[in-house]
Amino acid sequence: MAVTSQELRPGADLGGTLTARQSWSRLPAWLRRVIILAVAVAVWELYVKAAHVSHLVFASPYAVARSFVSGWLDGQIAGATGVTLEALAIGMAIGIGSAIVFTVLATWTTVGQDALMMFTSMLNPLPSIAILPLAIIWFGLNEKALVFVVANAVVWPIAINVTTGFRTVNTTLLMVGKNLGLRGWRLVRDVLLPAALPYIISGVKVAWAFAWRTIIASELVFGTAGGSGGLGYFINKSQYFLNIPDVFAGLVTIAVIGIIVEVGFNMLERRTVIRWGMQATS
Amino acid sequence: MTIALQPDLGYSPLYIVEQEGWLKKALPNVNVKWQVLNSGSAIETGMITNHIQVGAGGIAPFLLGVNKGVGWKLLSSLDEENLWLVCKPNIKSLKDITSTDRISVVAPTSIQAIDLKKAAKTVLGNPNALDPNMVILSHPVSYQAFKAGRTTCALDAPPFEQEEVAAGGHVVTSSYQLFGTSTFNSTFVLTKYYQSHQQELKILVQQIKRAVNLLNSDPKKAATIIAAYEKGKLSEADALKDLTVKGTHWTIVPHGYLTYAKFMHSIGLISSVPRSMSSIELPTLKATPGN
Amino acid sequence: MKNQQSDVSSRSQPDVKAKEDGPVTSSAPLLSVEHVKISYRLKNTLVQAVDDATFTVMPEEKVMLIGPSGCGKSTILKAVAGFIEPVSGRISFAGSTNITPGPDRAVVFQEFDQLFPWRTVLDNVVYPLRVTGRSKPEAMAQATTFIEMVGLGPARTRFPHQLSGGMKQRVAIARALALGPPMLLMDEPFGSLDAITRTRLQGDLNRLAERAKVALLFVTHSIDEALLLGHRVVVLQGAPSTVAAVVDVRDINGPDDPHYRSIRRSLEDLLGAPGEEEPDGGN
Repeated sequence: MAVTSQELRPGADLGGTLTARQSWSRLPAWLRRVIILAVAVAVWELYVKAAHVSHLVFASPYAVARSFVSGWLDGQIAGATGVTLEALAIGMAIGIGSAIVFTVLATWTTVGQDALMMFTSMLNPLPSIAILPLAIIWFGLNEKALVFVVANAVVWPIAINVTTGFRTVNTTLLMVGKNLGLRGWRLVRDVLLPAALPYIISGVKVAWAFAWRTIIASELVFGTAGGSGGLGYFINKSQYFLNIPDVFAGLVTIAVIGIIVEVGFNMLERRTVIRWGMQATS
Repeated sequence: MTIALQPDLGYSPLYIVEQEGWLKKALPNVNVKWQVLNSGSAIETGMITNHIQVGAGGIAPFLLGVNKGVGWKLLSSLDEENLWLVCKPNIKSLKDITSTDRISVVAPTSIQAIDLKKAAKTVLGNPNALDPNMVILSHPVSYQAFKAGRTTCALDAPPFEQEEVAAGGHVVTSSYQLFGTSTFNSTFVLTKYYQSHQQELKILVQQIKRAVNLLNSDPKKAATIIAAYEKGKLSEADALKDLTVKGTHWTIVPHGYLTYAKFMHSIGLISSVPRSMSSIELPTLKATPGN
Repeated sequence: MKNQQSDVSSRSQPDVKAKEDGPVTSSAPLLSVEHVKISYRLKNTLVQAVDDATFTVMPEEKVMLIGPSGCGKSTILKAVAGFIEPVSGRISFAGSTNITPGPDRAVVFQEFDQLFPWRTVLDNVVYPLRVTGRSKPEAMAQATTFIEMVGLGPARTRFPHQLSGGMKQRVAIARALALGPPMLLMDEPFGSLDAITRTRLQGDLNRLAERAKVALLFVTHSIDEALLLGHRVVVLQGAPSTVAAVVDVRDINGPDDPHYRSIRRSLEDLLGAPGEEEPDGGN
């Protein structure tokens, strides 16, 4: 029996010792996830039943599911989600746009490079929500402040990644582009940007994660207008009004959106950098 | 016993009890912990999960909790304060508020939020008419935002509202005008904790009463204690000014609860109005001498 | 033949120059490099790579640049391509001394990653044609022809990462030739390939360049490769380098040719070291 597990195909028979593990890994991925989720929900329900937690603090999965469905049906959660996603989209668009401008400046000028280095090392580690008070001073108590905070959360990770991406573009490929007579914007669009795509995608992924956390946290801290608050405000308000199932329904919404976006990124990567064999090593 | 309160001079009777160590002297065998929390919601959760035994907060969240079945009752009131809706000079009435104007209150369920709904109902006919204008800001931030022109109106509490007037605002309406004289902050306890700790809570109420008396009879001395409590963040003179603001009255006697409850019920925030005061307050309060 | 022999044995500059204009028959040179001196910046020091290089390439002529590692032969190629500018001297191509990068001197590099990873084999060849102004159907037809010519028809929908090193170099050659340039610049294109693949590609290149009627400036450090592919061999020496000799080898027909060994030995002498049979592709 000099056979090592690496030599075995997944699911190969090893004298019955691995049967449980095998039959588990033979299940399709989606089914495995559904089973894990079902177990988690069951544990949750059991905890609520067995621990006698106050319904004013913790909600059962059933109550949350009911709140989730009714919240989407009556438009409350949908409206709040819309408000959050709108601010998020505008903030990310501005952040990505500024990141590109900064990156171009940093790639072509030494001053720009120094400035970007300084600002990213100063501002990137700072949780973007910390600048919320400043944003309120500049933009007032409205959506613009949130958009600014999101843009700030987005701009630095993207700038860092894209700069690294540009700087590590292989010089041969650049020479090929120049050899074809490509200059300026054409060279950036047709060679530099696609060559840096793995870094750009991973930058956007990091940026999205920052932006999503930031906007929810900002809305929790500073509830915008009561009539048109986002998801964070919805959760905060529900907490104040002791509507705990609503709090959890809001949290579930956040998780679901997170999963959807993650799936979107995976699809994008499979169609681009993975298909082209150019995954970022960082 | 953990007693939780919020950072606001409206909780001064509790500050004095803590600063002077009265409870420690009166209850040498009880481990009393004082905890300052920024959010009434956090105090509420702490009480429901039994991490906090005595909570302090505003009248509206208390009534909401009663309605939701938190299972708490009033231990004592702390004070009555007149809460002003302070607006920029161009706002003569709430009718002048437009969609871009912002009105700050401290929490969505705060007494100030209820005051604003009442004002909206009275002036504009719809209690929710100003919801889109409402922003949630803590008192100090609310004051700064108002001063900086980021908000049109602010509904806070003394001493912030006086500062807001000093910064160019004017009083459009007030809680006394809307609801009559009423309690601002109070302390409350879960009934199941009360049943097993009646003696200790009785003593706590006596100490609060003592502090209230001091605030009324010797505000100067009270100011010295508060200044010491604030460890230099507040001068004695400022403390004295803040403690003796016109409209503020230190008392453990609750006032106006049912008026607020009726209004909250009428706009659907609570599903029923308590039958009587005695159904929401603990017997200790009534039994306290001088009440 | 006798001329060439004496040419090889001569190391003096004037002699080489005299020979330069000698054997080639027709018209004006396509490329002329005159007393070119090149330095480049490496970190903070200025490295002098080429001291004095002079040679020409006639239309459809295949000129091999040979020299030991680090003698600046790739540097000269990059200067001709327009990627770097000489400190002094003159490069003129097709009558112009304004040398900027352009597809009339299509470059094939040694590195396998010279293909665009996000384009298929076909797109890698079509794209340069589109960029240089061909219509879509024309570009498609041209690209398909050249991909077939390098034997990669069945692989045309693959992405570069799905190709072997030899296949990638074939695509690069097809891409360069499809542009129909008057001159191809090749920087040790077979240097990273195994011996068998290299031999096959050398044969293919000979055939293709002949058909495409393209001039070739080819950098190598293998004497055998130079003898196999070249019409003339420009031998570089020293660091910074100078041209030690220009040798006409167009009548040498292969290793079986009686003159092959003697020329080979002379070149070894010129290079100051035994020529490697199997260059390892360094440099």
